[in-house]
Amino acid sequence: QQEVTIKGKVTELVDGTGLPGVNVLIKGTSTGTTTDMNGEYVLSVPSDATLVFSFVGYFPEEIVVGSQTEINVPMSPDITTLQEMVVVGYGTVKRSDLTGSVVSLKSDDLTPGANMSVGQVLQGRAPGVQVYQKSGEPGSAISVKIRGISSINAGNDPLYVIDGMPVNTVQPVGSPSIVGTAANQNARSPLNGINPADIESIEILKDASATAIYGSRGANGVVLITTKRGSAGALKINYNVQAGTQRVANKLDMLSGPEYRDVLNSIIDAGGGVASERVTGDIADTDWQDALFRSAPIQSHDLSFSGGKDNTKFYASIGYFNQQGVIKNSGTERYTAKINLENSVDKKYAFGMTLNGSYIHDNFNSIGLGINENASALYSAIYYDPTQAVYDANGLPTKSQFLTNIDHPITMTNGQYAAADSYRFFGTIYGEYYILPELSAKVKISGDVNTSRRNMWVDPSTLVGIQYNGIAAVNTGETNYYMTEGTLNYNKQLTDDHSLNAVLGVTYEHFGSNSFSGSGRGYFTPDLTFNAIGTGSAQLNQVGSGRQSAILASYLGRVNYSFKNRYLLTASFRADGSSRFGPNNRFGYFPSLAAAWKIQEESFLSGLNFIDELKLRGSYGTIGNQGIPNYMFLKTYVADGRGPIFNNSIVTQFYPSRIANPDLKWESATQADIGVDFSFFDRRLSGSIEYYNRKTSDLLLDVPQPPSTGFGSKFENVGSMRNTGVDIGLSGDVIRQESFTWNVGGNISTVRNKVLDLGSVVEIVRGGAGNLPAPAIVREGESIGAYYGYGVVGVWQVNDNYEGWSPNIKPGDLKFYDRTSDKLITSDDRVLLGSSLPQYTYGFTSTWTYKNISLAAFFEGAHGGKILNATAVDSYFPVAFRRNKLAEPYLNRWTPENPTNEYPSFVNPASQGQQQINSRTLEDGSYLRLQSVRLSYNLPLAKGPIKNVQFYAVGQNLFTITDYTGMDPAANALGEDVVRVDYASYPMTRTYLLGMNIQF
Amino acid sequence: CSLLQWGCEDMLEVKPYSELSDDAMLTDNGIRALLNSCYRNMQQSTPSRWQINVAEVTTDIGYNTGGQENLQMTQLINFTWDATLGTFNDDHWAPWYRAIRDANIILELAPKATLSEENRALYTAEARMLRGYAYAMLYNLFGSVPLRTTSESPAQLARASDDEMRSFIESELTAVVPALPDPGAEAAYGRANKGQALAVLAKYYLNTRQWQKAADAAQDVIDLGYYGLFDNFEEMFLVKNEGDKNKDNKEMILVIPCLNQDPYGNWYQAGALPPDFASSAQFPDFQYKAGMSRFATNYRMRSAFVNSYGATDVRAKLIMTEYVNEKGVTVDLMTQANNARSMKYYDNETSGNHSGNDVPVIRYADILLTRAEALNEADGPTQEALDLINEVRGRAGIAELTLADAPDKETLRNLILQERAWEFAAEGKRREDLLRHDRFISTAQSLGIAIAADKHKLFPFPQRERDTNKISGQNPDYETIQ
Repeated sequence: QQEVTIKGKVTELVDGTGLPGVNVLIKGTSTGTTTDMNGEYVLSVPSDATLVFSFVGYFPEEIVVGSQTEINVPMSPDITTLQEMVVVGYGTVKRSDLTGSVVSLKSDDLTPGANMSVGQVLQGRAPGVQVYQKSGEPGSAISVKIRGISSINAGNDPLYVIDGMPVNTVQPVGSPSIVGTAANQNARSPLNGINPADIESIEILKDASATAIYGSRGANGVVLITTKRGSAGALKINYNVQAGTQRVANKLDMLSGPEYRDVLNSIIDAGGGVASERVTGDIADTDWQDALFRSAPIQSHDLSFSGGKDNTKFYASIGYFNQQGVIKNSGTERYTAKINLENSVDKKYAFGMTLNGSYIHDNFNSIGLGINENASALYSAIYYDPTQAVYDANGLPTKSQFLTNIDHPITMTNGQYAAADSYRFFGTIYGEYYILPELSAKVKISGDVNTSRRNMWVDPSTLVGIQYNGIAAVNTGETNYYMTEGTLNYNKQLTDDHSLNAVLGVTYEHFGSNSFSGSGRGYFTPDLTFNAIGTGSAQLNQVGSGRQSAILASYLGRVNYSFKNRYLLTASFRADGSSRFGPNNRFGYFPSLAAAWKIQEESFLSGLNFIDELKLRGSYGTIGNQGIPNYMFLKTYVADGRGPIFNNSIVTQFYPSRIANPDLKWESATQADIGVDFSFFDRRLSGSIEYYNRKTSDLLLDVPQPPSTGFGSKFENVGSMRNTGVDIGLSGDVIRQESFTWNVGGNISTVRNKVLDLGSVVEIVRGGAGNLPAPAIVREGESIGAYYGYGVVGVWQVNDNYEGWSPNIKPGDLKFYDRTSDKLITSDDRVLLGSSLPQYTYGFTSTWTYKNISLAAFFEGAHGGKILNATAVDSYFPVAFRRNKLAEPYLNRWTPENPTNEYPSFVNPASQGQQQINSRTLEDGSYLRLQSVRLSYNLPLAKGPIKNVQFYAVGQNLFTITDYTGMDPAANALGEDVVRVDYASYPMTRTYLLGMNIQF
Repeated sequence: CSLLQWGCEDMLEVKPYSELSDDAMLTDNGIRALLNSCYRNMQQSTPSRWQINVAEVTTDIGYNTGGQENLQMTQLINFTWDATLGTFNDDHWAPWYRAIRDANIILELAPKATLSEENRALYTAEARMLRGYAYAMLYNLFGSVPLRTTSESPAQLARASDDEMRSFIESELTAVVPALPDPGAEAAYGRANKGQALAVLAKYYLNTRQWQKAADAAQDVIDLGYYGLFDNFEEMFLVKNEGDKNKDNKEMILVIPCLNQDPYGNWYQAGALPPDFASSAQFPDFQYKAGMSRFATNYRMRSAFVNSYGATDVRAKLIMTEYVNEKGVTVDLMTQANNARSMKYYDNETSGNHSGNDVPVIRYADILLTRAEALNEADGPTQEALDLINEVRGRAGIAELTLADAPDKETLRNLILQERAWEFAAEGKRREDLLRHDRFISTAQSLGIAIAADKHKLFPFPQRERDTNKISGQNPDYETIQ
């Protein structure tokens, strides 16, 4: 038996850095060593030995020595490790000790470089978390919904908490518009000021046990964002750069110039339209969407420094992000800076601060939900006459003779714009002192100040602007927030079998906001715009201001108890008092209880070695929602500067704002959850399956009032709604070899939503845009996303029986479902036409790693869920004959020679009225999307100051499989979460990026 | 309060900094600001185009094609409307009720407010006048409606009985006349006066076929001695001749004041201009300028009606039958059926949709014809009735009527109806005129609307009201089949 000396280096598989402290043992013995600071080791071993490398948080590796003298081992991190600490509300717990439903995402999971925003980070990563991008507009908010839609009017966004500070989501400047233009329904994301590169981990709290500690804001789930910290040791520098380009992923398929001419003229020949609107003469063939769209650059730079010495650790970063929009005059530019600092001694004290600053410059192009000249440039581009050239011989925009009330798309995009500058600073300072090793007291103070100024200009070259010789507006706003929080933390292993962890706290939060706005009209020249707003016509100047505040004061507590490390129990409680509610009902109480059983610890499973983890857990609790505007319980009088005209001038008016409701109180939800977490075969297969049932009661409903009261609506606690669903997440290592690994992961979630009770409210219709009537209806027994309209059963054919029907109906007209069988198509014939909510959503990833090369693909999709295609509405019921139309229905329209039941003749579109919301204009929004592909290569490096270099390429939104004929099946121009309307939606983009990451 | 003052009671009190409480309203300025809101809800500048169209496209004088407004207008033209038609709530129900809401609060706060007795009496009379007027308008469109007379009326409220409704309107309007200022003596043009209250009352009596009362109330207006016909019909609707600009214009008793700016514009003209309109030889004073809207929807006049004007009738001059389009081509509107346009509201300073022309609600000519009609209905043709009509015809430049032209009540009734159509085209009077003489349905039938039936004499309560006020009731044959 020969002894050989083996040396080598153990490295981290992903970034190639040396791993210190790794155990290196000769298999079957206790002989061995540990790696040094650089991850290197030297060990004398028998030549037939097998070495076992093990390290907490990494998969163990076994290597037969054989004839080798140098053995270098890259170790792959075991990201599902049970020892990992997971952040929960007001504390952390070991992942294995979780009793609630918590999804934890670490920075490595988050596809570095592929995320433009925090919202995108979450997309498709976690079961039960539905994330979709509503608009391709740079900087627009992404819809994030945790386990369905729990409220009708009080909001459905989760609570975001950054490093323990709840994020104030009030926008300093909302989405102001001037005369209907440049409005933007998709508000900016409140998380835009956060650089995704600074995120260390994201925890998504889904069940009542996890969220009840956030009480009145927990009902829609909670997203905890933890930013990166430094660690003691040498200075680490990380620089990431990426640049790329974006293109429009999908255009609307409208008629081309020649198609338009032929189709329109033959409809006139068939007796439709107006003879004077015949397309004659030489025609151009303009694709107005192409004329409007551009390919747009995108780039980002992130630089971070971290390190520490002794008790002090720091992390500091600066970031720059610039995304131009695919429509001119839109885009976002973001500068961020961050510093996290901590001085601590374990079990003695901790003191730290975190500061985050951001400056965002947003450019907005007109994205209105108006109609005609008040709509957006893209709306114009969709409907503009394709037989017309973009510019005339003199290079001037050629305006349509027929479409005089929609603007020239290029004129509009150049002439209507807005820009916003937003500055946001938030941070936390905290101190924790250990009175006893097991008892600490912590005080935390946080603040968040966000100021924004939005400038708007509507140029006289546009149809809207010329009405007033230019319109300028400046809107400024500021939100301020502060929080003080005190907690006591107790953490003790009482005996071998019993351990206890408890937290008790009070918090006080204040939310303030101020706004000021001014607008002017009638400018001598279009040169000064909002930069000299007072130079317009003095009598047309308008100013306004507002100020609001709200307070939330809370008491909270939680106890975690563990028996034999096998049976876990969590109880939590929060009492929230909010200034938003009436004096009679200010405080709400939110208890929860959860239990978990770590079955793998039981002796009866000890023979089954393949089980790494098997945990059964269940929880029940009450959580709340308070997401309504301030002062809704109070009766007051407000003015809007738009009083009556006396003696030819406008005088001031005050009018009653609302009906008082002193009983207004919390919307509350009770949620039950049962789930299994498992991990088998040396963690090759792991996952979780959960079922939940959440019933929201006392809905904060903006109850429509009889118009005869003179009021529109009133916030009341009315009715209830239920969401039930199953969340399944699975991850598996298909291949796990030294030089080649293949991991697949996937999740699927179902949500079933049902409105149980609406009190005395019969139904609520909602969701209209532009000239569209409200397509959705809230009705007891149905899904919150139900659409309501006319059923199309086919097309009237020549040989049909027309007896008793309106003489207006001709062969080729749409045939509607006559629910009332009275041979009249009236609003009584409307039926439910499906829900906007998908039946299930899913995401899956596949990651291949071969030596230094890694390839990751991420797919996501939704099945079911209807979307209203506004372009189809205008094609079926044109506002004007000469508007361009969707190609498919018109090219395949009914004619005597083509007696189809698919599409009508379009000769007499309004023969039975205009049934705009129908089973043809509502389309299935199912889709499967290749959301991102990332290919990376780690440069093999010799020893040196550079620890790691990685090159990567990312493609986003590479393809989408869908039957939807509009812009994108996920688009929603309404900016809300339930009713989905694709109304000239800002197009989604396909993005290609190249990037490099260097670590020193 | 802060963390350290944890126990204090008012920890959660916040002030609505930008809003006023009840107490703040209890001053002269406060009540007046509320009264202004009440007036604003009566001054329905933008909805006025709907108020005109609803009363004309359902009759033999108006028509509409194209654009998004046609979505609703076709239902009105074809008598296929139901309770869900948006304009019923948005332009005809909700605005009047917002005015009623404000009036009720004023009447509750005024007794408690700190203000002079003189103003208290004046504001109270104005609020009651506006409320009575609002209910009269609602009654005209919907029949009896929920009668809200205090802000405490329950949200769920059934329609009043026909008698309650009628006696409320009559007693309110009658009661306030003495307390209101004489015409011309009101604080500002646009504020209420005696003439308005009496004129509203006269029209209400006429439309409810209370002929003698209508004749008397009209006479009361005439006896005020303030009003008179404006000499030049063609220019009467121009912005420069509005009552507050041209003191010679004593014809406008009650108007919806408009300005050429958002949201105060009269939008009728934008709907009446053809989408490629550039100019018209018939209106040499009007020049289309970039920035003036021309809607995709087209407010039209029916050919038969347009052709019925006499050759010398100056009122026909405000109806456009040809124009020059943007390409310079002259277009004869009469080659297409029902395609003439009223130009009553043209304004060279139109900005976008917004023309500044006030919309007449009650003109002195209407009062003259009201008395004439009421006298005829009560006692048959008389010289007095003909004299009243002839005042109007004289200004229009057409021959005066004699008793030989109107030998009996029926003949004169027809002549008056015809006169009113010519006089008030594009002012939204035709529906009530036809209804008053039971011709609304027969006229529709004669236009080929076979389904026109008795139920169409009243519009349905808006579905929005039905959904939220289950006991409101509904007009016959409109209830939704579930």
